[in-house]
Amino acid sequence: MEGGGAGGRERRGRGAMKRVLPVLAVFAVLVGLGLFLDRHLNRPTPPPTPEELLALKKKHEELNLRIRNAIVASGEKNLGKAPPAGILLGIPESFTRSIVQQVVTGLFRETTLTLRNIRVHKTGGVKVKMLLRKKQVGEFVLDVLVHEARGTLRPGEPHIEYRKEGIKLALPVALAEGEGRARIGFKWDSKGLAANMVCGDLDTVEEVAGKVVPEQYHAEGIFGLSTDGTAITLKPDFGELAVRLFVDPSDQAWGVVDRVVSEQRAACREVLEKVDIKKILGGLLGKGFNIKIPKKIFKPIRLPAGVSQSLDLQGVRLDLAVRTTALVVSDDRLWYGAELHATKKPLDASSGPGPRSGEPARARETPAP
Amino acid sequence: MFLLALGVLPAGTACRIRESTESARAKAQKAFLTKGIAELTELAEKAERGELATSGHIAIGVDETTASTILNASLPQEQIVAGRIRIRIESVTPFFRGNQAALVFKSRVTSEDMPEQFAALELAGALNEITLVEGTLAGRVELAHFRVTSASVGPLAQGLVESLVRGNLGLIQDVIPPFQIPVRLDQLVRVDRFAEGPVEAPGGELPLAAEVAEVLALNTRLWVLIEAKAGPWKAAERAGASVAAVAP
Repeated sequence: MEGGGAGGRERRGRGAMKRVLPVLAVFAVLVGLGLFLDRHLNRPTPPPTPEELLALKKKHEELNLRIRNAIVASGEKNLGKAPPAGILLGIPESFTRSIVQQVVTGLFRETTLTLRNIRVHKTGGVKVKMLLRKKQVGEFVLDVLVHEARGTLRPGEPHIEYRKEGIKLALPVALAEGEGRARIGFKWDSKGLAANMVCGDLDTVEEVAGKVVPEQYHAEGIFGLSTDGTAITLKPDFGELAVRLFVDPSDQAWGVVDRVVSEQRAACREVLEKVDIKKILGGLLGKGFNIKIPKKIFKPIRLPAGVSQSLDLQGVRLDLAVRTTALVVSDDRLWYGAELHATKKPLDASSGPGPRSGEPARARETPAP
Repeated sequence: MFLLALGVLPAGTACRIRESTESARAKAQKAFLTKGIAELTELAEKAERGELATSGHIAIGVDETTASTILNASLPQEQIVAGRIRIRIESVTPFFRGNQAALVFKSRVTSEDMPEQFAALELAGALNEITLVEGTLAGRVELAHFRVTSASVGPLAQGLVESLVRGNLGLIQDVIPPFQIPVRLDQLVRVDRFAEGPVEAPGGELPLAAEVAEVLALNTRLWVLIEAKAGPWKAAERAGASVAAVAP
């Protein structure tokens, strides 16, 4: 039974093999045919010829020229004439002009000139003809103490001109408005008996007000170009602006002077009118007060575009050594050109030494999607 | 039988005629030039219609060499994908031509199981979405194509590598550092108070607004054109007053 059983299994195995073999043979033929077809259907297309590539490159050049001409026609003067450099910044004249104009006028618009405790002093004598000869009848002392005179500057429309050496600026500045307060002291010392009988001595002090007289001035200079390697700075080269502040006494002030005289007796008035306090006062204040606006008021203007000295990338800090290669003023742009040299450093110093050349910055594991 | 067929299929694709590196390179060049012509034609038409105004914009230009210096400085970068293969981005070559900012990365793929086996991979991408954020210009690299240029393993394994890379292109993209242009654009110009003798100027600040207007890749240089506006001037007191007004 056992031997018959084993023989039966062997016969059944051989029978199964006979049935599978043709199927496998058909499958193998199909796979072979499939692979053959796949290989031929997916044969790579032929590469382009060198002539074909050359023609495409030529077309590129033609289109580049067409774009360049169209950009120039739209008003661009020198994008194509930028100086050679690895990294370039071209700041348009209109933008620089806008910055310079707003910074300078903004600064001047708020500038005040304030004089405090300025003293003006005038003495003199009055002589009148008495019988045969002129005789001094008295001496006067006029003291003016300007407590405060304040004027505010008002800039006009600046004229800005691009030059090779920088940006020339001409700025009309008006000392536009202001007020002042002063104390006027008038002393009269009569000389001689007759004069003393007529006038006596006078010592009067009055507080008066006045207005600053508007005047026009003109500041002119140049903002030269400079760079520290990372930014363009416009460095001012302007002279001192000398302003003369004139105070015009108010009607109230003149009224005070008139009152000092008018309050005296007729004979005394006649003497004091010879002094002509108003004329002296007008003469003293009419000279004005000199104020020098220091050249330092024109501050360097750092233009808002520059080259960075470092970059942080994927856990690595790049220190960039910037070497300026060009700083030129052209037709409509201020060009700054530089070459960069990068040095790699680790972003976090505590993480130890950074990757050296050829070493990976880091390896991250991403899970299977 | 079905399992047998599944096993045969990758082998079948691996048995296809593999293209030579020179042939593949010439085809890639043709594709790049053809796409460039389409881009340049569109740009030329835009410029001729007067829609490409550049004269009032800040022009920032970076040449291919400088871009290469910046991009390569943070390489190599490594990524383990799907726990099986380690991809190491070794170098990058930028191309700024035909109004296309293309980047070609050379990388090496090794197996975590068989570290001595490798495949050299060429990945190609484009620089997209250059934006100005807090005064810094940066662009994202988007991978578009890749191919195995050489391998220490046979065609079958190369096919598997290709299939693995294709399926994980998005993850590989994350290992590529963004392209940062080392340019700083300030957001204001500040002038300090000045006081000397009778002269006093309170100073102030000039706010600046800037945004990317156009990106051009022409003649081996990437141009980023920035539309910038300055002003209005804020005198120091006024600036202080406005800050006080919003403070709680």
